[in-house]
Amino acid sequence: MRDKMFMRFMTIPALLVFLLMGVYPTIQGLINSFTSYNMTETAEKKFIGVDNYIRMFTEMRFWQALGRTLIFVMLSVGLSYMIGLVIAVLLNKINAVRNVYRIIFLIPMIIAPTITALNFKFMYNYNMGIINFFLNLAGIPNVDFLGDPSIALFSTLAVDIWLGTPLAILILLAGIESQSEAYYEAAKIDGASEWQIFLEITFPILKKFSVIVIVLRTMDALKVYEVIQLMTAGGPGTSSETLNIYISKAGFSWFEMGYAAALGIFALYFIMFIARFIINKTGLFQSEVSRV
Amino acid sequence: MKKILSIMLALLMLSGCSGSGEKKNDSEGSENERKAYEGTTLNVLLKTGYETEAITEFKDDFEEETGITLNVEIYDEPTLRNKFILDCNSKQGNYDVVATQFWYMPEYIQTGWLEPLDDYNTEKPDEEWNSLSHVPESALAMFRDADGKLYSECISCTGGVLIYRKDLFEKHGIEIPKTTEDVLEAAEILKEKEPDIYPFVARGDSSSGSFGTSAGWAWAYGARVLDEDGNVTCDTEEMYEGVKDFVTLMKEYAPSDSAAMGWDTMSELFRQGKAAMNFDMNGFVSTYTSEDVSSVADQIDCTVITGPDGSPAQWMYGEGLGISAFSKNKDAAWLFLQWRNSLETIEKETEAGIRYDFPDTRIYETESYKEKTEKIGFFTEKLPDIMESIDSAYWPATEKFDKVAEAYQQQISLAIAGDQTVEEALSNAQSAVEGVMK
Repeated sequence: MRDKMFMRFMTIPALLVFLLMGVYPTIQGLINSFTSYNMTETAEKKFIGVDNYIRMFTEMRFWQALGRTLIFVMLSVGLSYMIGLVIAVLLNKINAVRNVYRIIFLIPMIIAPTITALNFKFMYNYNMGIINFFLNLAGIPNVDFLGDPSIALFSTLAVDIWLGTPLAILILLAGIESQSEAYYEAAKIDGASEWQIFLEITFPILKKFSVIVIVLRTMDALKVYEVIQLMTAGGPGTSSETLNIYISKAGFSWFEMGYAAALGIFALYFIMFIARFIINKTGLFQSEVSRV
Repeated sequence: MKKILSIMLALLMLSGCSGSGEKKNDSEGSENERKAYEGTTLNVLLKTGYETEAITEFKDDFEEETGITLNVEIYDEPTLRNKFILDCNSKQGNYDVVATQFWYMPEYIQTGWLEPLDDYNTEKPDEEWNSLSHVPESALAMFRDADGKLYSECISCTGGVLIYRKDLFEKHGIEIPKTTEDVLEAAEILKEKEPDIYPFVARGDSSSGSFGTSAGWAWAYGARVLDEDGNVTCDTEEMYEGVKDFVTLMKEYAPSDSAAMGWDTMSELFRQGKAAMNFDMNGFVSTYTSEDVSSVADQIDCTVITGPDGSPAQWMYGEGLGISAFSKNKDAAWLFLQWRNSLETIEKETEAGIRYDFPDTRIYETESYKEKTEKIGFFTEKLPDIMESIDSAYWPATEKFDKVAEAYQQQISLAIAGDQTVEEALSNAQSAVEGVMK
């Protein structure tokens, strides 16, 4: 009994932090979403009901931002998973200087996203960027990575994949290395090819790890902000404006806090819905017994 | 009991010695009034740019003279505005002095975030440093409200010019452009004769910071985004003609990534000698003629250009320094404002080669200025004409400027990128700006 009381007492600091930094701002945001709160207006904020939400759902710009967010997330998660899986499988096969390769592939994880975004912005530069330099050497004319509305979003997507793939590599490689060698030896004795071994042994065993990668990468991709803001700020026009960029614009360029809060509340529930969907579909938190 | 009384007396004496940062003792009258705020710390919020260099370069002089410590924070414009607005909303007064861009003045004045300066100027002028009476009214007008009250000291005021490479024009016998049509003709010739150099560069990205370029160019055709009554006029014939020519310049004679080009990349290209013409504010001439940062410093000239309407193409910009209404050190802040704009400080700026265009007209008569600017006499002799050409009528003076400018410029940027025609861009701009002004 005393032990239980002590354990409960020790959770109080964490609970306080969660309440102050998580619950309170969310409740305040929810309240603001029903008001006309604008930081650049002298008029007092007043309750306006669901006007902010009506504005949001009737605004084409919102739906376009949401659409871009979904495209961004699906491609970022999908591609970083696939690339991460290939690299993890290859890394597992390397014996010599294995750790050197691991460190190299994990470097993007230790560089701050802000630094990465600024560096890629320079590398993408139409006139002076190193990427166009190498493209020219290959006989390809300069590409306007950040100024062409049709590819600006995908240019930022590439950077997010570069940043997020190491996490996939780390988790999937841990999964591969946790498997017993006996499975592979038995398969080789039976004459299975590398591709068959991968499809029939490696991939199924990695299912749980794959789900973890997908969930984490989805959460990361949904939160992406600084990469896009620093590289294109949502431009040209609004061609690379995702939901987070739009929320930031509403809140910190226009200072329409009521509307930004409504957008933020929507984003919160949207992310929760996606997380819930993935977890339910994959049974991530169910034990093996309960799933059977 | 005696002990307690002694302690209380000591505490009282100690509290009497602590300063508040405001003038300590009027009745005593300090020999040097500039030292009256000694011990005060002023938090100064500034924007990146050459206007800020003089402060960071010479702040030790001010601190030594006054005993006031300057705590300077420098940010890009959006971040600066963000910080100032958040501070004002919290009413904390964390910043005493703030750099004010003229386009945000309607917003700042309406919300009461800036301290009016007229009473300070009347009652507390520093005899040597105060320069307000030497700044043209056209420059000060950008920082006044409808009743004429002044809310910022103007530290920089620019107009729109076409900056060009005189060596290339001389080499190919091209007449110096005087009109927008001349610019298009010159661009066509240069494209053919100098294939490795972009005939034209200007800002084309979708931010409000590039609004001044496209809207200023369109003014030369008699077009404006908002008319004098605040009605949205993006889809007029004049606007179409102006934007059509501008988009032509940007698509056919400027770099392919012009739709993503801000002032920094535009300036970089020109300084590296990769562009022949640049339409922007006259402040850039100081940068392009500086041998420290420009590879074409000796090959620059500039001119004001007019459009079919006869109006000069604009790139009006004014930056000021204001005192936060929530500052707890307003008198000390006022002293700092006067120092920043004093003849003494701007002479040092000239000497250090930081910039050569100032709103204070006295500087142009000094021998030191004439000597220092001998090499760029081509520019300094045109400054009066450039200042004369400034016409604030084209600028949407609304507290919603940021949204209006962004709504308009986003469409222009997409037209430059080839994503839509000029007609579509202006139709979309009309709807978007009307939505903002509703």
